[in-house]
Amino acid sequence: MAEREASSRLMREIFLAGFMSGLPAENAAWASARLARNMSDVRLAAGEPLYRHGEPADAHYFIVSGAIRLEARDKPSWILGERSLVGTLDLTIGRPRARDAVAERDSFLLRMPAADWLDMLEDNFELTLRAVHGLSEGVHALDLALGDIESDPGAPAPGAPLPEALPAPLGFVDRVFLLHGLPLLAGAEMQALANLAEQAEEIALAAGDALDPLQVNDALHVVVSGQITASVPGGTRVRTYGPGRLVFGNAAAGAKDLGHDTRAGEGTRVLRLVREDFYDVLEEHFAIARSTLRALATEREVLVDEKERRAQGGT
Amino acid sequence: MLRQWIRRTFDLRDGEARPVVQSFLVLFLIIAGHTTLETARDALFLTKLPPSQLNLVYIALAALSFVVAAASTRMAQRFGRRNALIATLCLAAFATTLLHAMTPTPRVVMALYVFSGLVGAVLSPQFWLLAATMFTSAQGRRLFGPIASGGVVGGVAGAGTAAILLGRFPITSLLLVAAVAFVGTALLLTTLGLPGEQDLPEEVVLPRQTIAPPKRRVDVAVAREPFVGRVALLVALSTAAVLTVDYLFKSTAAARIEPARLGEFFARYYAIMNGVSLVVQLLIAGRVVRRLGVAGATGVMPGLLLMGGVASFLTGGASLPVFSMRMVDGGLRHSLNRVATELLYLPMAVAVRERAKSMIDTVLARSVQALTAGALFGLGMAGLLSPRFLAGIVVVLCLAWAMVAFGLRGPYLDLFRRALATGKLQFGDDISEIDMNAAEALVEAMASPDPVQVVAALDVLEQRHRAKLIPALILYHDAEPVLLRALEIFAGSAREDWVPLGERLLTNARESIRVAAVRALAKHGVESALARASEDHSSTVQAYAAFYLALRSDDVDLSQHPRLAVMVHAPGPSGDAARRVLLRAVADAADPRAATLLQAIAASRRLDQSAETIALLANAMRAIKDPRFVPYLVGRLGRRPGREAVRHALNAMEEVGLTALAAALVDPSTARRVRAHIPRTLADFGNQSACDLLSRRLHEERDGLVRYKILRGLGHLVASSDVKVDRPGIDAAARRNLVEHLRIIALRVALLNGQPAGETPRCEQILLGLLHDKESQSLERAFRLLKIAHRREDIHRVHGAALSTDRRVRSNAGEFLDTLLAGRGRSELRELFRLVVDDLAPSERVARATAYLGLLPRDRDHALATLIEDHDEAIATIASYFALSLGAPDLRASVERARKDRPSLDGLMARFFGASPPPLAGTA
Repeated sequence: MAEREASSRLMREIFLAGFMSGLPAENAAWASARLARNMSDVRLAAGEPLYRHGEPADAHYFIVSGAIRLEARDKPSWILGERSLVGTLDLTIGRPRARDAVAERDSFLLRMPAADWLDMLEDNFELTLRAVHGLSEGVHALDLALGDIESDPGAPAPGAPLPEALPAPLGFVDRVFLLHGLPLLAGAEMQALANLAEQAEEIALAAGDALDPLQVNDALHVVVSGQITASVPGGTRVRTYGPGRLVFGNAAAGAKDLGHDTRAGEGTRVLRLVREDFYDVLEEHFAIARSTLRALATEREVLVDEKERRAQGGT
Repeated sequence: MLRQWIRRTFDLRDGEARPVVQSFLVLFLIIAGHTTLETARDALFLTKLPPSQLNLVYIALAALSFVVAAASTRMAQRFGRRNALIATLCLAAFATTLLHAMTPTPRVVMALYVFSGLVGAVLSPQFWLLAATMFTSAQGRRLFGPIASGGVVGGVAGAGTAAILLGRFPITSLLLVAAVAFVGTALLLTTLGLPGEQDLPEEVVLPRQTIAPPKRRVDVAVAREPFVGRVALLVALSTAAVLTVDYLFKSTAAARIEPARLGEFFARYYAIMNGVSLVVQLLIAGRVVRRLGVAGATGVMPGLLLMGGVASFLTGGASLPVFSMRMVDGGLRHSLNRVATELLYLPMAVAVRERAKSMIDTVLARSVQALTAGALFGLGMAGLLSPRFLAGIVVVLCLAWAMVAFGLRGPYLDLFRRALATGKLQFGDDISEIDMNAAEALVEAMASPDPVQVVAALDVLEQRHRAKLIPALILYHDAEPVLLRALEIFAGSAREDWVPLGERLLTNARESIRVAAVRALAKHGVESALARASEDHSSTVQAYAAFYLALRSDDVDLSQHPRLAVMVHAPGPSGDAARRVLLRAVADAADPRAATLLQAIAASRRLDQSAETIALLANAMRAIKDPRFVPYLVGRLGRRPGREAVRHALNAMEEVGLTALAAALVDPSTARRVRAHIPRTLADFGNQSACDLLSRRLHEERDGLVRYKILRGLGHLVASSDVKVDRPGIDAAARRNLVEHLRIIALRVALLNGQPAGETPRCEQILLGLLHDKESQSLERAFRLLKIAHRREDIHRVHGAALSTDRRVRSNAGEFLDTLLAGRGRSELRELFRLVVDDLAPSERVARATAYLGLLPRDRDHALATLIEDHDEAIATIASYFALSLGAPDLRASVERARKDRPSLDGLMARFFGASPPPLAGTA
């Protein structure tokens, strides 16, 4: 029995080493060994359910072989194949299962308990950062691909209305509340927000002034007053961000190439937070990292649904 | 006033009074009725039949208990627990009335004895099963005592009533009184409010089960549950022991008291006994359970009986020790022992509990009674049943009972461990052997068309020290990642079979492959490879060869080598690429002469700061292990790129690295961002010195973030290495965090209590948010410390359970902690954990923590004045700003005082809020 478990663990490690291939060797070896230790095998015959809507999201699953179909009423189905993660969105968003997961064909999966996964992320910031980058890239790519989607991911969170007139320059308290209104930071601890508020820099732009393209990709910009207009590569699409909005939305947390031309539409003030400083705070305060992942996962779900709806011929 | 006294004395909380009072009354009536019935039964039996006939009754009882227990379970499943109890009571009342109408012949008396025994065997378990559905473990610990006292008071009332009535009416009249009590209980039960399905206690052993599981599955669960076995053994031994004590008591009474006075004797004796029981229940039981824990409390009664047994044995069955033993039995059995035993059942799954309880309390207990009675009967027939011999049996049984009771702690903890963590697989940490299945998987992965899979298989084989299983033919693979990884692994191995295939790659079109091939071949001393590399058209490939050629020179200091010096400062991407190759070459050669070269590269302004380059630099330093690298490496910890490799390099420096890290951690001039990463780096050393150092700093460090990192580092170290921790020190730190947690709650409660109506000012919202953060952090730290002290326990889950919104889950966490921390010298920590995990309103929690907190903030202003002086500068700053915005003179004076005592406060206020004065309250 122990021998079987040992070989099973070895097989998990082979799979995970592949899964973690983008990480530096030191991190990948540590993470795959730790993950493999806490995993268990799940084998499903075609048509067999993995979990049902409403069940607690206490684990996620790596698909080693086979495919899983995710279904929900009034939503398009998703089919995830080999080397995909199933159930991660629920776990990241922190909610019960939003869909039924059923094996599309005979499948072999590895189950990872939620608590162990989160523990591992907290213990290895490179993994957390990779997750932030991956989700940001995915969200940004989907956002670009879908073009005309109505969602406004950078909008302030409900319940955090922006005062009509903010003082100039922005005081510490207002900075904290401005940041707290961002979906990305909605679950952040007050201490973390205070750190971010302290490190943020306020910039005043005249109408037509451009943000430095390099800075756009290396920092998060929150509009305090006025508006920022961003045109993305190709120049076919323009998006405007008003007060309380994060320029480029949640994807600004980690996407590599956000946009080429970002200008103030009128006299505008923005709060600029260098990404590296943001990541430093993320590393110190895991709650903010979770909040960031949650916001990105929520947005990704909306975008993937839209993409699938279009692919399946919906309106 | 009385209500307040009761609430305080019995720790009754909101919503608990009604079910507790109802349960108390139900048990009171059940036991009062049954005691009256028992008094009539005993008096009639001993006046009509000799004591030796008791054994026949016990055997009959055991046989019938199977049928009755099965019927009881079936009835509960079919009609529900409350209805089953009501039906049983109605049946009991009917049969008792019927027996009253009959002439008390020896047969009728025997039937009465059997009947009353069965009634007692069914009613009590049914009641406690009902109570178990109404209360959680934590509630049970507080409330089962007061509820059980209902039984004790019922016993006193029943026996007292019987004693009074016996002076005026015939013995059989007691049967009618019992019948009335049973009917009254049934009527009362119809008013009992039961919890909704969602409030039913969690099924611990069979989680997520909301409908009745199949009986067979439950039986399997019962049979496989070791804790059930322990409880069964405990009950079996206690049953045999108390029966023997009872037999000894009754035979002694029958021998020394006139038959005509036996009824009066028993009535009075039982009344006194129940009085003792009541005192124990009200004044002692709760404290004993609290102090010794559930498992420890089960050992009290056998311990006392053991002493009585020894005294009886030594005196040859003298009245005093024998009657005392029965007094202990009567005084504790239905109070302390009942409460402790019922609490043992609570953490079991509902289905398992019902099955186990009905089997143990009815069938097992009756069977043991029958066996014991049979044995006593046999011994009596053989003329061996002297009082001394009986006392000897009591000693043996009580000794075994006490041993089982004291051995319960481990299995009891296991039950909560499983309740808090389900489905986690346990693996050994070291799996170095590869069986056929794994080998098959590896071969399959290496043959995969997906390069990622192939590299993964190579990685796993290397990590498992099985690189020899990688075929040299893998170098025919076309994918770049595969070739790079394979060459890297071959370079580090002693194998030579791959060399001819490696030389073939020197002409590969891809520069990266040629560099990797040169590296691998150079490490194996293939000179021709270096010669060919030096003629390569790529400057990067040449760079690698250049280093090896420089090594052949007589230069002591390679940083002065002209060609290498150029590479150190070469600009642009090609310079970056050349430096990376150079760093690889240095790492491969591990020649100490390259130490200054590495220092020059580290100091070069041209060095790109990417994670890859820094990791290569750190790896090269790791290979050479020169102490001069240490300051650079320590300083580099403050920056993320390549940090993991930097840690490994410091680790490779062994004692020198450890000493430097320790000094940097203590040195206040070390940058905070560096200090924050030292603890984890120290933890990677995995030795006792690192553990001691971190433990010491845990108490001395003043910076909260660094202290937290020390705690985490210590946690890593303890989890991954076999080191000894200073448990009293860790306990003290946990205690400090728990007190801090309670202190913050006290401040928050005081702030909120005086909060004016309307919207909370933003500044106050930040202050409350900061307090909330600190409250969570201090609790988290206390749990992390507990994990360090108990490395094998899954404390993370206990922490999660303690924060759960489900009171049943919280209750499990509380019970687990209480049992885990039961031990000498930890009572304060145990009490503090109980305080923070228990179901209490914040104000109540604070009120109970006064002994640990000292002077509590009286009101909002007092809380603010305290926060203005808080050791956390952010809190002090925001509290000061908020206090000034309120405009109260006292608060302004507090801020002024704080400014004088802490000059940094002004600077912080200016940094946070600028030069502007705080706005007035309501506009902040």
